Amino acid sequence: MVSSTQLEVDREKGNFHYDTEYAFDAGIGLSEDVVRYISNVKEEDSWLLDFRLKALQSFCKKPLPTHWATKDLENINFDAIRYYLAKGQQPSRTWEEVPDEIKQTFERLGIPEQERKFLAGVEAQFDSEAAYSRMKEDLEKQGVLFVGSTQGLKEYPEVFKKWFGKVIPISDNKFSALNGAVFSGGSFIYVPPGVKLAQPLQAYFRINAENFGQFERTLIIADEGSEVMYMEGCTAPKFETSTLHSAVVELVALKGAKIQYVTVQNWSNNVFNLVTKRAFAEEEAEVRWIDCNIGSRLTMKYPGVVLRGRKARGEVVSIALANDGQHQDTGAKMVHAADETTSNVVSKSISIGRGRASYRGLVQIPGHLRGCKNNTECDALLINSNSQTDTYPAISVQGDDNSVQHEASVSKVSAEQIFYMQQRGLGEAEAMSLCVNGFVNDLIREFPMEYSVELKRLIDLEMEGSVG
Amino acid sequence: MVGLAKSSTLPMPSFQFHQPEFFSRFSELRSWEPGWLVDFRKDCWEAYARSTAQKSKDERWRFSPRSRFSMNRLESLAENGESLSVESGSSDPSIALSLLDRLILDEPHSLVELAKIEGPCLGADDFQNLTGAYAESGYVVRAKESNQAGNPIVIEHHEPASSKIAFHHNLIVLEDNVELFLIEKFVSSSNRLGGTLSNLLKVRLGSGARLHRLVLQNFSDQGTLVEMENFEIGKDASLHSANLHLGGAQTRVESKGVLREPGSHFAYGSVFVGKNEGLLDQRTLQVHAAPHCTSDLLCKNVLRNHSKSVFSGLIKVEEKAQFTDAYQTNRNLLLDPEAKADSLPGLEILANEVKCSHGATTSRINPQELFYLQSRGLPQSLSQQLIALGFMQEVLDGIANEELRALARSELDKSFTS
Repeated sequence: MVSSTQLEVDREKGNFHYDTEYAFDAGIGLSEDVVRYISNVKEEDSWLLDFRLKALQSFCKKPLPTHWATKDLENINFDAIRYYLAKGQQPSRTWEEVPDEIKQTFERLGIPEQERKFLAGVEAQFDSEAAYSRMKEDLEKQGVLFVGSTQGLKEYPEVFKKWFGKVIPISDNKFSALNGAVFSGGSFIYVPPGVKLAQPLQAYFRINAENFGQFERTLIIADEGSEVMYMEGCTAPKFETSTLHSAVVELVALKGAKIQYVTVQNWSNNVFNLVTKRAFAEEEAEVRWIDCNIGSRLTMKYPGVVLRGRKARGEVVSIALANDGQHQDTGAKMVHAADETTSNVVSKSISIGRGRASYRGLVQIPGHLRGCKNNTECDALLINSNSQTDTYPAISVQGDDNSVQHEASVSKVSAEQIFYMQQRGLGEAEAMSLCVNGFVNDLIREFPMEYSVELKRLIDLEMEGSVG
Repeated sequence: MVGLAKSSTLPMPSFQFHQPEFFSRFSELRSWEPGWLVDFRKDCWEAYARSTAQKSKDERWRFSPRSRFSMNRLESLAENGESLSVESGSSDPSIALSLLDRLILDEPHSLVELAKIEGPCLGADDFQNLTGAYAESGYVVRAKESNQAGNPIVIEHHEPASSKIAFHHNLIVLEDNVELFLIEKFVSSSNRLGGTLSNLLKVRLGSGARLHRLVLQNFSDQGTLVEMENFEIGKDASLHSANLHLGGAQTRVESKGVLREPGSHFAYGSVFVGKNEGLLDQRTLQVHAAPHCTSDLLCKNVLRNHSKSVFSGLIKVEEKAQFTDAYQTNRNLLLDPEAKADSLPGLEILANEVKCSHGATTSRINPQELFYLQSRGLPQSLSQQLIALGFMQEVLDGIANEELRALARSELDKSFTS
């Protein structure tokens, strides 16, 4: 009954062996030498090497969190991973080597020709200099820093060092520690006081092949009263031959600042996507995580906001779609640490076939605070009879002036709804797609326009063959 | 009676009950018991020894101040026979109510379910295993044939003396279509006791059987209760359990309802009135193992002073359990700045033809409601009380029997005015 169309790539047949010579290659496996090598290649200061080595220690010491997380984590072979590949010389393959399914997907999603080549890994660099150079100029004029992690720490330590590794400490969890040891790539952004960026910043803008690295590290600092929206990922199936993606994203919203961070994740189905994301929100600041997870084999991602200043606000909007063989373990963390802080979590998940979607949340309000509020809603939609969904929120509240509400519901698309639409001449699959799109519609509207259009098409694509 | 005399005076002051030497002396003294029971005690002891050997982080104790349930400060077992009394409300011969120690002597074969039905296994495995290993007290209810429900059976568990622990192992087996009312009281004869009771209840309901249970817990503010219960619910059978935790220094409750066959129903309600440093650590599990079953769980906590509640619930819907209706609600009312409520409502759903939801809220009294009552001339404390009682009324409304409901209501009132 269930024969879902997978965006799966058979890696044996696909034949993606890179014979490319790398300028720098740290080899396979993780050791102190590898970490030193990476640091050396990047010509880092000694404090950063110490940081990496400490992180490595922490990584080795920490056990896998399988006492609460899925046992699937045990299938990661940390010794078989390449932790650092050459900078500047990315692996290249020809367009002909890209499997037809992927090409068709690009076609149906309506992705521009040039982006396709980039996404498929055919071109290491996305040739968009012309299109975006105007924008870069504008950014520079406004004093916005938008650089890579290496460049950021080397050229602007006075800006970034203060917050680097502070939102998410080295020993936060095993995978953030791993990232700390071997990170490369990612974006470091600083927005000066009062600057409100009208256009969202995208990882694409910066012409740097390291953008979509395995262990990227992002730090965004929005100074007082500034506003910024950052987007990462893309709706097209991102080609990835490595099996572990472990990023760290730190956001700092100073007094009155606003940060929106949009992610669309669509890794191929063999990738472990274990990401740590956390934000500090100071007085009257606002942080929103807008997150959509469609790809990967296992995603574990719980974006968090530490509400550190009075009247700070945190929000997580999350869509997860789990198809056969996928486990989307996503959620949110809201840590209230000041009076009158508010937070909102809206999560919707769809499980198709044998897919499994989990929500894991944490809300914490200590007793000395006044007037804190949290609202959490989780809705799950189950498509097939063997689909799975879980909800594991943790709510800890103290004090007689705070309020918290959590609500979760699980449902399926009713036969009546499908029947109604079939009566109006739609096919069963079409009807199902329409229902699913309707289910997530209010959240999809939170995404930037071009993403939301692509997301809708992508959901249609994922739904194909899941019914009938 | 020989056995009773032997066991009630255990002459081994040099060992404590969590030491292997103590258990081996204990089993020597009880070697006259039937083989299956000896084996069962031994298995439980070994499980206990194994689990204490590996001390890793246990998610089932998340948010719990676990040290408050530590057995280290407990020195000895409570004297047998002092901690339990029963009263059969009806003279109906089809309902057999007896005590565990008596049945071990007289009809041990009627106890085999004790070894067959599992405990809830929701974290307090140490208590569960030691109860299996040491329990000589407990009540056993067996009811056969269809009969009109008579007066309720009343069980009284007594809080043991300070630094003592009592283990009760209880069994309720209702055959097909039997309806039974049961009141289970946890009482304290004096406010200076402060012992620990580890109470393990196993229930099996046959087809169409109905069990209505009311739990009234009024331990002293030094007492510790670890209550573990597992309900196996058969075809079209229903269980309704209303639980009032009004006393005790710390209470750990583990309740598991297994909807084993189609048409079964599990309803569970609880209220906790937290005072001073009171703690309720509650873990629940609703297992839907068959299609067309319903379950409804409602836990309400009113927390004053420094009291704290932990609610951790899970609804598990297995793949074959289509057409499930399952609900789980936890509501906490915080009346003081130091009061604390932790909530872990969980869902694990593997079937798609389900109606499932859970909700958890934590808040204070709406100031407007308070203002309304005060503007009508009620003092603030009384207004608070009324609102809190109204808040908990929903749990009492679930009790079908009028008499039981009235009893629950008066107990609740008492705890609030005292």
